[in-house]
Amino acid sequence: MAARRDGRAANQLRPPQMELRPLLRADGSARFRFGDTAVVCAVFGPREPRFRHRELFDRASLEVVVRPRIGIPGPKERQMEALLARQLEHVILANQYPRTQISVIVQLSCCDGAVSACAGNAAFLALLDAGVAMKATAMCVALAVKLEPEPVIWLDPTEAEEAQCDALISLSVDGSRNQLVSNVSSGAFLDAATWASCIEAAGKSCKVLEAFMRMSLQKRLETFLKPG
Amino acid sequence: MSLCLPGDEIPLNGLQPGIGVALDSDSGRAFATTAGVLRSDDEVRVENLRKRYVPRKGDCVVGIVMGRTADFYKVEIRAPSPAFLPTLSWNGATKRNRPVLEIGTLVYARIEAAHPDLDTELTCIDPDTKKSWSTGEVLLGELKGGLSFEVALSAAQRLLDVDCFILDRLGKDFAYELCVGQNGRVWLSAPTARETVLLLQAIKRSFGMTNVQIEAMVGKMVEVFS
Repeated sequence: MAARRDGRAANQLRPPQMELRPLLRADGSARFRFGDTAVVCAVFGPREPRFRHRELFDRASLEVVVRPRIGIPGPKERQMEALLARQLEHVILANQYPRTQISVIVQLSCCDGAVSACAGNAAFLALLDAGVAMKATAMCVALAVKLEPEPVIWLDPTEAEEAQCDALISLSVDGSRNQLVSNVSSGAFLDAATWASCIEAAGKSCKVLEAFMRMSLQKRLETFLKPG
Repeated sequence: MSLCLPGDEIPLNGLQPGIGVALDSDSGRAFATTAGVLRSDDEVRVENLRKRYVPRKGDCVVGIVMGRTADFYKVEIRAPSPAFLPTLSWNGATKRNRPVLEIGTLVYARIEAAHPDLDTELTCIDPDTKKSWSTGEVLLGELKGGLSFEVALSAAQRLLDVDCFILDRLGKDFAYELCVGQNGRVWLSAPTARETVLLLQAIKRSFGMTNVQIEAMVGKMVEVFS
């Protein structure tokens, strides 16, 4: 098995880091970091839709905006917006907020691989901070698969590793129920066995991320919401 | 202290699900919808640090008048959509004799109807008293003078507690009037502007402090002020 450049094991995440409410004016915000990849996300809402055509009579409409680190947003960001919106729609209980809009603004601040997974986590945490009702806790991880000479799965790849690999997968898993929430894959075709081991690896690491989140949330809430 | 995350199953023990708890329509089991601390008093709810208010019937809120028509005032209450306050829903108000609120006025009102599909309706009628609004002695109504600021919803809940330490402590050294809405907006009025700003800072910063820390902070404040 080929060793990774930064000395990690194949199934090892880069150290995650999270910060809740770095932005004070948003209803909820979060910063999430995997090693050198960092994303800031702000959530506004549920609020009155800014445009009438956005209003849905039975549920909240979700708006996702992805801003690149530099330059103006292009097709890549548009694609990410659509994928993120699909992923979050599965988790948010939109029918609790009819005729409203929830805006999720994602700002990429540092890109070194696994960007979409990092953005997914930041968006989820920001929604959590805003107190938007959700039905599951779904964390995301990215995987990179190299098929030659034998299949190797690298968890949480860096940008250099992504370039070396044949297929890139970003999975979102509900850790406590072990259910797949969303998957985005690109690149080479994977056989069933490799695919299954990808899902297993993602499930395990999402559980780890969930435990990490639980710990840091506990710390934060303990200071503010002491018993009484 | 028990932390729960969205999707965690919650035992109801015969109580009603409150804020942050939803029922699964298929299995009938209750689960948490937000991350926070589980509390069960008269209902099971999840307390967290959110800022956005979701209107509930019977809550008393502090709102800002944003607009007016012949029949309604449009009032901003930090909820997803503005609430409506009928111009006649005041104690003893008639078509001839009713309060006129300018845009930007602060009002303390009770939520009369809150349905997610319909507009939220407010009222300033206080059933506990028979006094007319014009005496100025009714609890609900216009808040004159002072200033308003916003805090997290759980912070407002703490200020509303009967034995709120920070308010009692400030009351020993300062004279002030305070009105806390359950939507996290607070109105504060003190004799001078300097005192008002000082009290505002103290109340805003006290959230998350222990009683000992609050005591030290207020002690220092009094020292600086006098």
